[in-house]
Amino acid sequence: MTKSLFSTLALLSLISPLAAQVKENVETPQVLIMTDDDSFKAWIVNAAGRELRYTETEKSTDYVDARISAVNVYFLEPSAFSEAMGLYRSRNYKEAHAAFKACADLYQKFEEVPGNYSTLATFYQMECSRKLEDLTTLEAEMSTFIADSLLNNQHKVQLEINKVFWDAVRTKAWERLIAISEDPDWAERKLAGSQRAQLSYCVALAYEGVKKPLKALNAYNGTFVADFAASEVLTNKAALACLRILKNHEDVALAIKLFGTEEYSDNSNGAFLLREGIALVKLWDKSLGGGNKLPDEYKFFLKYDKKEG
Amino acid sequence: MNPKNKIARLTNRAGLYGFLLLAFSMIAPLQGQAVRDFQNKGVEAMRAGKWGEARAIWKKATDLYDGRALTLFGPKFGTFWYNQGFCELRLGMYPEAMKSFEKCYRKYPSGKGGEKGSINVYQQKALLYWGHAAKGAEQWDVAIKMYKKFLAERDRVRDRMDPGVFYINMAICHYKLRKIPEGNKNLEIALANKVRFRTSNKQIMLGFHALVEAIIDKNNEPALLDFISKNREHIKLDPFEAFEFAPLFMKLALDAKGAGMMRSSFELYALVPSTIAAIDDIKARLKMVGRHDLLIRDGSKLVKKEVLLNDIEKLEKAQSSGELNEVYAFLNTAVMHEEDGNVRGAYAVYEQLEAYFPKAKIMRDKRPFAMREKNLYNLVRTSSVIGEVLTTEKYGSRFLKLFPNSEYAEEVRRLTLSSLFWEGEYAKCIEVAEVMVDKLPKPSEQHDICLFVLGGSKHYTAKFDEAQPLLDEHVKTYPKTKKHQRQAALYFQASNLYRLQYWTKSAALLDTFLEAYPDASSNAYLPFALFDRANCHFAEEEYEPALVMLNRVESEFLGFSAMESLFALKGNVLENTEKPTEAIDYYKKALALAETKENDIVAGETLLYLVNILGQEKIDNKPNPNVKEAIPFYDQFWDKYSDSPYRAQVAVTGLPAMRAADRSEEALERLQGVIVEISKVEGAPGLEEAIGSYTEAYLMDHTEDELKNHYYNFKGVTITDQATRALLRIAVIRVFEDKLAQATKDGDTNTISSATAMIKVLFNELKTDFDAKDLSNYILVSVGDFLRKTSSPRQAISYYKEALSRTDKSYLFPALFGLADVLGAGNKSEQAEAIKHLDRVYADSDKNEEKERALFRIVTISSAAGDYAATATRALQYLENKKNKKNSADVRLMLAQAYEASGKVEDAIGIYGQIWATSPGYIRVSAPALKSWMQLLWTRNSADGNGVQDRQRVYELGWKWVDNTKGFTDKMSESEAELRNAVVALVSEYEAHSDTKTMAEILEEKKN
Repeated sequence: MTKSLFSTLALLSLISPLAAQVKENVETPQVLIMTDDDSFKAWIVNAAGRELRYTETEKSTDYVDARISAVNVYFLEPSAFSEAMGLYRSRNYKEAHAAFKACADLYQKFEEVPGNYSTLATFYQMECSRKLEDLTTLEAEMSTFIADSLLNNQHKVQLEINKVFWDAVRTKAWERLIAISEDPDWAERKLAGSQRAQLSYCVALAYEGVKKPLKALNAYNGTFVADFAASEVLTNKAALACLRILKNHEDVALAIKLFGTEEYSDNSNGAFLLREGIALVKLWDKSLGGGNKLPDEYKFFLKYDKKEG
Repeated sequence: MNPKNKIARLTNRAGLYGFLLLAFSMIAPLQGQAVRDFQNKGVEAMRAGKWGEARAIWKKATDLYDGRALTLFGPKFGTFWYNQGFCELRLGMYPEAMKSFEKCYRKYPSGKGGEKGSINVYQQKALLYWGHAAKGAEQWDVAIKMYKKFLAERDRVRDRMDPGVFYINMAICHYKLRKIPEGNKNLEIALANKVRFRTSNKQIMLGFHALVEAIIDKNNEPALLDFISKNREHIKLDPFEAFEFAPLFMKLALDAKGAGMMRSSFELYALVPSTIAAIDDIKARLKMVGRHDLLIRDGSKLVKKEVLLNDIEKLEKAQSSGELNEVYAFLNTAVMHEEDGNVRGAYAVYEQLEAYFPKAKIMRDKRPFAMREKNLYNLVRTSSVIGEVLTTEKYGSRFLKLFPNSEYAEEVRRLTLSSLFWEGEYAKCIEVAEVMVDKLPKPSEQHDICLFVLGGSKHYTAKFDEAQPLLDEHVKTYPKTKKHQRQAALYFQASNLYRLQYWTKSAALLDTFLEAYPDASSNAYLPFALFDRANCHFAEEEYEPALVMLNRVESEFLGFSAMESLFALKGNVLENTEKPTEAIDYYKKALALAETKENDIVAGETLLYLVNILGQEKIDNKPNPNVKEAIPFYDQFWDKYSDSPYRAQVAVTGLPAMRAADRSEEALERLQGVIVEISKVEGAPGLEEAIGSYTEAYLMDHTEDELKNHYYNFKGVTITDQATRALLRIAVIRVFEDKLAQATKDGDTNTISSATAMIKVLFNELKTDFDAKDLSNYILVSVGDFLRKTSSPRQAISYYKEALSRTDKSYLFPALFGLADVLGAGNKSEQAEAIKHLDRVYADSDKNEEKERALFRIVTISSAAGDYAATATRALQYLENKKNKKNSADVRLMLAQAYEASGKVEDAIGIYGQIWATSPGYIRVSAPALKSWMQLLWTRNSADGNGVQDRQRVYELGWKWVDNTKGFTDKMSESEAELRNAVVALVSEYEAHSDTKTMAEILEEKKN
């Protein structure tokens, strides 16, 4: 497989540059406009109500107005968005939040055109708030957000998750959150891995909130396997929450007390949970920690690792 | 210009750019129509993408003219070699392409030969493509050299290049040579200048692939993690683009895992887009693209409608078939978590696979392989390990419904507790639930099910003593459990007590159960509860109510599954209510039904009842004239049910009938066979009884001496059957013991003398023939137990001591009890030793029954030894434990006697009073207690609050006790009657005393 893939890509590498570089025009960004009969390059000037205005050459003042519903507009990704997305993908959510906001403001005048980068930037701005678990800010951002121009259904599902699950976390409405998660509307819904991770995490918080630690453990585990630890923030938090639950579990405390004595039983619940804690500490370096150092308070688990002697 | 054409030019020049310029550059300077024709045709074929055809044209030209070309056309001819090389490159003919580009560069340098001022505009550019060709030919060092040379010699205006491609290719060549730092330097130049270079994401992925391969090969995980951390923004793609690279990420992740680079493996899995996210992202892109069919270069993204449509078709097909990328990542995640000991993580994976990817398939032997069966099995398995009983239940049932013939079905059944339970797989339920029950949080729904199943399974597998605490706990802890479970638990609890022969307790619970669930339509246990209740009544000799229950089941529950047992029990009840004819009818009905249902156990049991009732030797102390009526049933038993557990009893019970039928020898032979058979099983019940019966029957036609000879050479018992041989010897000794007792009673001195001598001989032979060291603990204790009950109990000591001296601790406590019993009757030091043995039982046994017995014997021995302080202390110790009830009246009596003997009169009075007041009918204890109580109070003679003197009071109460117990005197044993008579005598003595008013006087006064 490597060979054939490599060969395919090798040919691609021979493709010459597509077009001469065009200097980005921030005020009137370049787009492709598709109508029923035609598709062409244009520079979009404004959009309001149901109309958008563009020119067919960059510096032209020969404006053309079209009904938004009558055309397709392909916005080329503006550098403001690319930079913000670079920060976001580098997991620098705080700076990304500001950059997305700046991008959203910059292109706000196009927010009624489907696929515009103002709406998309605001969406990711909210994603930053969520990743930072700044749920108050998220709630404020959600309250003014108009999602009509988003084209990606995943983004719309995310907004629902924000509204239902993360807001329940914000208000600590644990019982409600658990009830919603069991509703077939959500329990049987086909979601992307990152979204399943979020739901599991929120449910885990709820179970912890209602003092059902083992249920919470299950849900936290659901968090970090849902997208193979790609949701690094939630993975980290879920793993630490598991270790916290295990450390504080009374059966684990008893197992630790009896460890090394004749009364210690490998079949006891405490011993089982203790082994789970040891496993999570080991998995921390392999995937759950995402390169972060394990807090000292959980290193004690390894003292009870029989495999290590 | 038509805008459509404009945009077409903007977006689709890639394929032509490389050669159009050079084609135009050739037209003017070249001379000669033939060469011009080659040129025109070659360019035309290239424009049409006909690389093979074009290459043939260029090659023909170079073959014809290369020898003289420099002279004829000058350096410009180098472009022919350039074009030929370009075509060869497109055709993957890398070595040929390298040679063509080399010719272009070396043979046709600008300014040499031919037309004055002629230049080869592609001389330097040929270096770049030479590098590309060398890269294609995997000559990495040559490629690097050419790229560097190109960079050094190129004309920056004329020799344009795609810098993104250039640096990525440089990086790849370095990675291939495992020069990772140099590779990184070039790749990072491409990434850092991604926007300016307009480097496509596809090119970036090419470089990333080479990087990961190199790092895995060098096993340098930190380098990869560092690279990913620094460049995540470049390698994390939008889902619509990342989809194309998912197989690459998956492969690299697997390679990383194989190299033990787990973190890298997961970083790579994290780059695989979720299928649903990729589908939605592509759909969004398609909305943006609309009708536009041509390639759009959007920054680093390459967007083409045709590709998007192809991708979405592939994705939707994959989604529909289940051949999804994330399935591999999931499965590897599960394996990693489980291998490291986090079974819960694996469980979470399988749960998501079942919920979201039930159609999951993986490629196995190049064919898609459906994974649901295995995933679902793993879900059941892991949920069971972490104690998620409800989940195990849910998915286990689903598994068995979907895959009833799976290789995992058996295992799933084992794991699915409730299903197992209701399917009657009790042994498997026990195996699973026993490991699980202590791990579950209490109270919880999981624990509820597990406890119920465990208790119920133990009940159904006749482990009644183990079942009881579990069922009690369930009933107490989970009153709000599911209704059907509650009903079942209450029934099991009550029924289990009946099996443990706690008739009274069971009866009370069964009555409560029957009252709570009287409706047969909602209580499947109703006929069973009625049947059990009837059994309790029968056990407590309450025959009439037993009959009421049995009749109800018989009439109301015609299909009752245990009807044959019910008929048998009804026969028992009728037999005990002196209705033998009806009883026989019911036994026959039970037998017929049991035979129809092929219930061999009940059939055998019923035949025993029939042989027993029909084959009684005497009825009303007169010979049974119809004893032979038992014969057909006896024969039927041995003909069809000789394996029955009742065979020893039938062999014994049938002896009178067989003797009447002149078939004694056959019956004895059969009984002998049974003795031999059960003697092979160590500890088998009934052996001693069978030998006893055999002995009794044998002696009817033989003498004691014949018995001795017969037993010393018992047919079928080999020399190695030490246990049976020893028991047979003991049986002989017992016969002579009985003979001695009878002779003593009769005053037959001759027989006394001969029997005594024989007993002595037999003991000596026992010792001689059976070295205690050769006997098992079981037989040592059995011999000891027999001997201590003979006239020579001390003979038992050596057998017990031998058993206790061994490292094998089987029968330890019976040996200690036996030894203590013998020593307890000895001198002071032996009594002290006996108490030491009993204390050992008390300390080491985990059964309260044994602890109680040990403590009771300690009190008894202390009391017999006259150690009143110890008696009082140990008696109080016994009484402190409320579970100790069996001998509590006797212990109280010894306590009171100890108090009395040590001068604690008031304490003694208190205890004596309690005893006779609370257990008046227990003559053996109440009579001596009452007697002592009366005597102590008579002596004290104080007045009570009403001015009644002790003497009057004890007389009155003694008289009443005597009066109340006079109705039972015919049922009292000789010793009990003696004890009662002692009280009667004392009451008479006090009645005659002047200090008392007689009861006759008192009653007379009351009348008046």
